[in-house]
Order: sequence, then C-alpha cells, then structure tokens
Amino acid sequence: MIVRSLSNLWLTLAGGLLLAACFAFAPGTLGWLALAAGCAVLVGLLGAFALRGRGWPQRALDLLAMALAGWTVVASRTFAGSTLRWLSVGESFALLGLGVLSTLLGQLQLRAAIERALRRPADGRGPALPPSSRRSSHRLVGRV
Amino acid sequence: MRIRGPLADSYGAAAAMVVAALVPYLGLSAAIQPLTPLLVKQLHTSQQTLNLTTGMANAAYAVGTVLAVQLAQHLPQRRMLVLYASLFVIGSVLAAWAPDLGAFIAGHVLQGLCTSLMLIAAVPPLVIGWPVQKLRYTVVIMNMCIFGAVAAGPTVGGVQAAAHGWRPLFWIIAAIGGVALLLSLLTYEDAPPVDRSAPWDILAVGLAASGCVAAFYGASELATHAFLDAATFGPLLGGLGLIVLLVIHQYTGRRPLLTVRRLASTLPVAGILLAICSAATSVSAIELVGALLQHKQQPLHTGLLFLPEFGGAALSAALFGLVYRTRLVHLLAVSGMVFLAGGIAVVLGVLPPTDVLTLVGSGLIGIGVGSSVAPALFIAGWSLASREVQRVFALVELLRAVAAFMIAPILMHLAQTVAASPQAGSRVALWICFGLATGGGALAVYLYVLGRVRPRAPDLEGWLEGERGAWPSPPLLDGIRGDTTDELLRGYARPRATRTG
Repeated sequence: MIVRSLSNLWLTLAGGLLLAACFAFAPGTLGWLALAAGCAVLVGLLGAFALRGRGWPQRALDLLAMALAGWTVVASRTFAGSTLRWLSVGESFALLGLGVLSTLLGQLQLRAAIERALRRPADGRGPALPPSSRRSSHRLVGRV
Repeated sequence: MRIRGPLADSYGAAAAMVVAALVPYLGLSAAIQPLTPLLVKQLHTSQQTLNLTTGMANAAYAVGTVLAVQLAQHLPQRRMLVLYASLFVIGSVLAAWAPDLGAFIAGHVLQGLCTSLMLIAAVPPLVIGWPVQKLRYTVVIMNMCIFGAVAAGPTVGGVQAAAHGWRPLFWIIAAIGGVALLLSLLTYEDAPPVDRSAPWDILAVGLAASGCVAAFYGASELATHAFLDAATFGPLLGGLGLIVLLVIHQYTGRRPLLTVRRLASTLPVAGILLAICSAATSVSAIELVGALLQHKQQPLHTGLLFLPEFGGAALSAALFGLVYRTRLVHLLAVSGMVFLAGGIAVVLGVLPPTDVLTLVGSGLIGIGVGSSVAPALFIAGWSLASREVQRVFALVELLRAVAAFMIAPILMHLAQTVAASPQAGSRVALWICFGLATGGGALAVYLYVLGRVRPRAPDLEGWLEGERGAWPSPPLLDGIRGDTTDELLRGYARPRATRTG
C-alpha cells in the first residue's frame, strides 16, 4: 500500500512541479525540465507497476500515466517555444489529474478492502484481520 | 531404396551448405545501397523501380518463411531443399545475366524467396540433428550467416561500386548458390514430411503474402511519394494490419501453422522483441549513415568505413559460442542492445560522421546486432520443445524481416523530409533508432521483471530430446497476475497466522 501511495504522490508532485515550471522558466529550460519530469514519472511508475497489490484499475491508470510521461519525453525534445510551453501545461495538468485520481481511487479501494475484511467470518477462510487489528481497522475506516 | 549423399554424415559439409545458402542474399540485401546508382544507369530504370524491386525481394524473403513451414508439413524436406537451392541458382543467374529489367526483377525476387525457404528447410536440421557438442559451432555459424553477412554487406557493396560494376557481385552470388546446391546433393539424406495430417493453412500463407507485399510496396513507394499519400500510407497500414491479423489467426487457430500461442510466454516474447528492435535499429542506422556518406565519400571509402561492423559481428558470434550454455546468454542479448544504442550515439555525435566516428560507431553496431539478434532468436527457440524449432524460427524471421526491411525505408523517408536538410532529418531518424534500441532493450528486461524470471542456463541435452524446452518460461506478466485490491491491506494488518504442531 505504501508503494502505491508513494507512486501516486510521485506522479502528483511531478505534475505540480512541471506546471509551476511552465510559468517560471524559459522554453529552453522548460524542455529539459519536462524531459526530467517525464523520465522521473516513467522510472517511478515502472518500478511500482512491477509490484503486486495494485489491482487492475490502478494498473490501467499507471499505463495511461506512463504513456503520457513517454509523450512528455518525446515532446520535450521535438517542440520548442510557445508550442512546448502550452503542451507542457497540458501534460502537467494531465499528470496532476491522474495523480489525484489514482490517490482517490487508492483510498476508496482501501476502504472497500477493509470493509470486506471486517465482514468476513473469522473461521480461517480468506484473509481475515486479526482481532487486535480489527479495532484499529475500525478507526482506520473512520479516518478514510 | 534410400539415397544418401557421400557427405551425409559430415557436420562440416552440412554447416557449409547452410552458410552458402544464407550468406549470398542476406549480404546482398545490405550491399545493394551503394550499387543503386550503377543499377539505375545500367538497367535503364529509375530509383523508384529499383526500390520497388528490392522491396518485393524482401517481401518474398519474409513470405518464404511461412511458405517453407507449410511445404515442410506435406512434402519431403530434403528434396524440397534441393529444389529451393536449384531455384536460387536460377534466380541468381537471371539477376546477374539480366538482359533487361524484367529478368533482373524476377531473378532478385526469386533470390529473396529461395533464401528464406532454404533457411527454414536447412537450419533446423543443423540445430537439432547433431549432438549437443556441435551446437556451439551451429550458433556461431547462424550468427555469422545471418548477421555477419548483413554486416559485411555495405563493405562488399562499396568495394564492388568502386569497380564501377554490379554484375561480378551477382555472378559471385550465383556461384555461391551453386556451391549450396552441390552441397545439398552431397549431404542428401531423405527426410519425410513433418506431418502429412496437418491442414493446408492457405489463409495463413495468403495473409503473410498479401501483408508483406502490401507493406513492402508501401515502404518502397516512400522514395517518391509523401508518407500520407494513398499509394504509401494505405498499403503500409493495410499490410501491417494483415500481418497482425496473421498473428491473431495463428494464436487462435486450432491447428496453427506457426506456434504463436505456445510462444506467448515471457522468454520468447522478450526474445522476439529484442530481435525485432535490434534488426530494425541496426539496418536503419547503417542505411542512414551510408546515405549521408554517399554524397561525401567515394563508395570504396564508405564501404571500408563499415568494415568494423563485420568485425564486431564476428567478435559477438565468438562470444555467443563461449556463453551459449550459461545463463549469460540472457545478458548477452540485452547487452547487445546497449552496444547498439552506443554505436548510434557515437555516429550521432557529428553528422555526417567523421571517419573515426563511423569506424567506432559501425564497430559498436556490429557488436550490438551480433550480440542481440542471434541470442534472442535462440532464447525464443530454446523456450519450446526442439521439434517446434522450425516454426519458431519461421515466426521470428518473418517478424524480424518485416521490422528490418520495412522500418528502414520509413526512416530514410523521414530523414529526407522531416527537416530542412538531410543532416538534420537524419539526426531525428537516428534519435528514433536510439529510442528503439534503448526502449526495446529496457522493455525486454522489464518483461523479465514482470514475469519474475531468474535467468538460467539452458538444458540443451533435455531440449534436444524434443519433448520440453531448455528452460521453463513463465507466463507473461506472471509476477503481477491476479493481484487483488485485498492485498492493499498489507502493511496495515497481517493475515492470521496458522499454528502448526
């Protein structure tokens, strides 16, 4: 779970920083920053994608984000000037949006998974939560 | 009465036959670029017609891989090999003699078709028909035949172009074809069809033929048409679609001609991906650099600058022979992509590249292509039982040929049109090659990670028995299959431990 949250945070941060860079730097510098942001997102998500426990909705969002990051890398070395700036603005909004969406999805799935675990009979069938953690899980659901 | 040639028990003769069968056309396909101005002038034709001729010859090469598998199912294999070698000699004589353009086209297309027919008919018996000790020489020979010949092509073409003639090279090819025919007779040992009960898969052969012809036609037309012109884009896209349809048809078929379904596991897919990316990248990069140097240097000088590519291919073939029984074979295939990307990065330094950069770059590309394609081909082949090796080689060679011979014209067209000057356009095209090499290599490694593959040394004795692969190949994405969101709870609460004892 921690890796999933971190990868979504990584995506959101990269999108946010790139958005700030779009209005703070000249297109020449912005191109290199977009390249770095695209590579960082790609590498981060490739690492996270290889781990278990993400579920197919998160994986679909990961693939979308990786495709977008790949495009960001290509566009950063292909376009220049105001085209690059406005493309980067669009890419950063999309990365930011995907990051936020992935985080929300993660929280909703976590909540659903906890509720499923709490409903399950504690007869050894299926992965039930131990009694000690049930109390903390109730608190956890309340927090989520 | 069974007929046996006097050299039927000689491994050396069988290996020499394979070399003589494969080297001529594969070398020629890479040697023809510097000879193009001479061919255009002496055959009284246009650049476009010549492009179309080489495109159709390459399409015939790609189709021949599938056709050979189909014919091997129903017809005696060694007799067919003798027939293919005879047809190759006829085609080569026709192309070398070429009283007019029509004869040249027919001869050259026949050369392409017969080379892949011979590859699929002659190579599998050399791989699986001899003791495992001979496999070391076989992998080296395969590497040198396919990639060494392609690597030597630009040098041979440059030397021939410097002599202001093209026919001597074609006559030499006809002579080597004659040697292949002679050796196929001397090593003759009757072999029955693979499986007479197998269905005639006309649809598969038809899809391969129509797909390759359409795609290569579209690629050839790029010399004189825009990319989005109906004469180029339509056939290119349609041809590619037909080849994809062929793969899907073979994947879903009940008794398919090609073993696509059994190849859909981690190691073969990674191997095929490496072979495709490496072939597409290396052929395109060498053609792009060759085209840039053509206007700057004499053909002989340009040809000699590509000589290190052959040296690199020979070096990597020797290395493959050393590590083929170890787990390093996986590393060799991936490291080839690194060398390939490195070679492209070197020639990208200055465009057109200087002599030193071309020598270093072509050497690295030679090491890269030799280290990646043949090991990748064997990684795919060793993942299935040895009796499937003919079908595996056919599929890999079909896809490799489509990638190598179709992407190069597209990138050449891009280099001419995408920027203000050919140098700037070539830079963009070479960056794409660099991306293909690095991306293909990285994706192959990633497939290993997603499949949780621990590279192993191949069990070749077990593989040669014919019932199982040389190593277990996990299903694609085995490491992340079936994960559920319940695993999200990991880190918050642990499943209840079951007490035993």
